[in-house]
Amino acid sequence: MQTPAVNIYQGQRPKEYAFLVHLVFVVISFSFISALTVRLSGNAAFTVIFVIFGSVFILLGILFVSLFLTTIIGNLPFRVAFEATASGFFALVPFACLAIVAELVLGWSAVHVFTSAGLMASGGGTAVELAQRGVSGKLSIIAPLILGFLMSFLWLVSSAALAQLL
Amino acid sequence: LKINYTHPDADSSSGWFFTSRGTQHGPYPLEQIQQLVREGKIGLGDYFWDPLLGRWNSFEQTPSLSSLLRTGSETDQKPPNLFAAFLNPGLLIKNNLQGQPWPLAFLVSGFAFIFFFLQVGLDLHRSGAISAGQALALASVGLVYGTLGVSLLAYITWLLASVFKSNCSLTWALQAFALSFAPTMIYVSFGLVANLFFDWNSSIAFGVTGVVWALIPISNVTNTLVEGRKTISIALTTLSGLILLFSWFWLSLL
Repeated sequence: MQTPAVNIYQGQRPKEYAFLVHLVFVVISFSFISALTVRLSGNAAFTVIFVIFGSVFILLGILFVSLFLTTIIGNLPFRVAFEATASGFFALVPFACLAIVAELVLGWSAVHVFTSAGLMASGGGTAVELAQRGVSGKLSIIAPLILGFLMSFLWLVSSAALAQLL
Repeated sequence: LKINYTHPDADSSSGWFFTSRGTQHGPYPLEQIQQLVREGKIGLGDYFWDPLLGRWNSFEQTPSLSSLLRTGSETDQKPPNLFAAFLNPGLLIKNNLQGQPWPLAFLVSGFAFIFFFLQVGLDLHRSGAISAGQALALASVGLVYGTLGVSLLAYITWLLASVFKSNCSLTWALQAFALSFAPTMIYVSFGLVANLFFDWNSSIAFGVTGVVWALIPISNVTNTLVEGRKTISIALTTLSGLILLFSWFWLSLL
């Protein structure tokens, strides 16, 4: 019987390395968010440090979420978890764009609001991506949401701590 | 779970395939698939592979499969799913709001923005910038924003999604966008309590945060509108957010 060789994706099947493109956009977006966090200091060195810190934070965060999902969801290959998480965090991009516009165009200081909501949206996005890769069950929905919330909390605490240190 | 659908005309004895966690299962007889439907392991929103067409389709796009699912869901009505309500209004519409008049959804966005704008008015009244009557007038502006404004936002997004051959109807888009403001409704309700009983200036902390959180379900709605085309969906979500941001900005100038 003829069946498709690869059939783990729904709808528009993503290109094989689409998650890498998503990952690049996520890191760039979070770098901007990080830079906005210390924008008012006016110190270029602080901005560079925060951009590096933000990039490392988001990459480690995605790695941690992927590893955690692999641990708690039986038989989930790491590659599937990592692809789903990287593509799920692509949901961060609109929030980063809006944070930039709100800060730089409208003059509103709301970067933390957009960051928190963006990281939570990324958790939700990861749950959706997992579902599209054949992972079902309440755990695969709830766990990424909780992890997104945790990342949001960790970012608030760690960025505040770094700002204090600097 | 996803179903690998083998067209009945092609080989009726071949059965059904599905994949779970990247592993393919099957073939299974139709009865077993029906059992999976009854157990809630397969539902509306899942996709399948049609080997004749050589592409993925949603269940809804294949009458033989969607009728099977309707039979399953009719026998086991799912209770309203709170996660669906806050994250994916499209799923809530499919599972719980079929047949409901779509304008009812605007109760959610309407009240969300009445409460939000009322808090803005109360904050301004507390600082002496406006009178109590003007604060109430702002609440009525919120009603217009939460109904007509959200309708316009949904229409613009639906129109743009139509360029990419969206199969969703305008009424679905209107209903889904209005329901997307459920997180806002929760936030601003708490904010109103804090404002009225504790004299907090809550419009920024609760109102703005609540509206930003609406972008989470909105991103899922746009994803459904463009059938999972992620980049387009992200672009439409960004556009929706920008429309919201600039409309507040212009309102604040007034």
